[in-house]
Amino acid sequence: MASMTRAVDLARLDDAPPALADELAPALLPAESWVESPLTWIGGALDRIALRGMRLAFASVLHPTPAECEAARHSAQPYIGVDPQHFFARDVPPVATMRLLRRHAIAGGEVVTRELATQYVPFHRGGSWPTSAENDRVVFEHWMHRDRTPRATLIALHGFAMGTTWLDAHVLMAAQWFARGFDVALVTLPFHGPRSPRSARYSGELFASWDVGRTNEAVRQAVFDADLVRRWIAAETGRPVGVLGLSLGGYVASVMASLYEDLAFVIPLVPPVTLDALAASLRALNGGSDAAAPPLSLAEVRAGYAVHCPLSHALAVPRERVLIVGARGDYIVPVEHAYALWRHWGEPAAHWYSGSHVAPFRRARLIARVAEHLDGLALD
Amino acid sequence: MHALTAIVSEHVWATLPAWSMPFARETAELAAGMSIVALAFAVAQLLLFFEELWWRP
Repeated sequence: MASMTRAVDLARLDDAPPALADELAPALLPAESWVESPLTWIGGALDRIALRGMRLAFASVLHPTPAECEAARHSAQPYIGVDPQHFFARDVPPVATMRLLRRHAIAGGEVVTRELATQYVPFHRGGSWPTSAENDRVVFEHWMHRDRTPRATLIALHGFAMGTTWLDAHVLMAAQWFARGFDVALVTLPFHGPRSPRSARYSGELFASWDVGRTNEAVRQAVFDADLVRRWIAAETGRPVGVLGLSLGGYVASVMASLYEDLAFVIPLVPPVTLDALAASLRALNGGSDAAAPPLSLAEVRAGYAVHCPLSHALAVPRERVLIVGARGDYIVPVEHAYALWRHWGEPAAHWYSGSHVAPFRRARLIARVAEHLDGLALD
Repeated sequence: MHALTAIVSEHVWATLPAWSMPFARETAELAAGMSIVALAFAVAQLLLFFEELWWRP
């Protein structure tokens, strides 16, 4: 019986979009100058060092037990073959309660830390979805102008294993956007930072694992929560709201671009287009010779993730509001991911910087490019 | 690296009770791995700092 079920499920993999079924196509980027290419090389080297650290840190995850393999396979089943159009909740409840946790003044405004009740209801309530009081609240740090009306609010979404606000603010360049007249909302993703359950050993541990079902629900909740914050801010300020996300946050931003056509702008920075990107990069170290066999094949993992993969959805936001940013020397989320998204969305504006995932060299140029893009949208 | 591993095996793991070994090993690997990631990130930030001092678009 088990083998029959498995045969049926594998047959359903044929329904996956072509881009998900295979390796991603090589990225054909504009030529890089010889002055810049050493930066890409140095950045790539730092990415590889970081990957080696992650491989050591996540060693137990990379060597799953037979029971974990079976659980992973089981958890993916309810999501395989589900129509991506029906996966995300369209009827969302109004914001119920907003708590103000703390506030402090900064030049030109103040930073207010807020908390919303999530009201998230899982798509499929499987056994591995944890009940966690910490994760039931959406925490975000709101940088607000007090000296003028903001041009718009930029919702900033951090990457996997981040969620420490001061660090997120630095990496997501919150001060630079604030100085350019934007309010900024640094939203903590599910199971990260202050939303990590007490049992978690590191930020994001319960977000990404071989448990496809739990990861799918975490992505769905991330989109739900970011939209909750978006709707609250839009109602409070009456100004446009857009989203900028880094890495995993870029993935969530990409999904949002497929669902909410009224987003003022969408800027995914080094986004993956399939959530197996990090695991694939970790396994690729040393030619994959020292990693255990994965519990799910590439086709099975991607079929499980297809419900939220941006390549399964059409772009809902007008293309001119999108700017995709990729790193030429990215070893953690290879640039082929951003390139595939760029192609899938009909080649919107893009910026390919010299550097890598952990080392975005020429950051001033990146900030200028994003600012130029936002200026062109006539948000004022 | 091998010498370091041998020292750790002899002087750390050997002194722990058997039941705590998997947990201790996982925790040690996690701490060491995250430290390497943090080091790579810190070096990157340092390079970015000097790059921004030296170069303006």
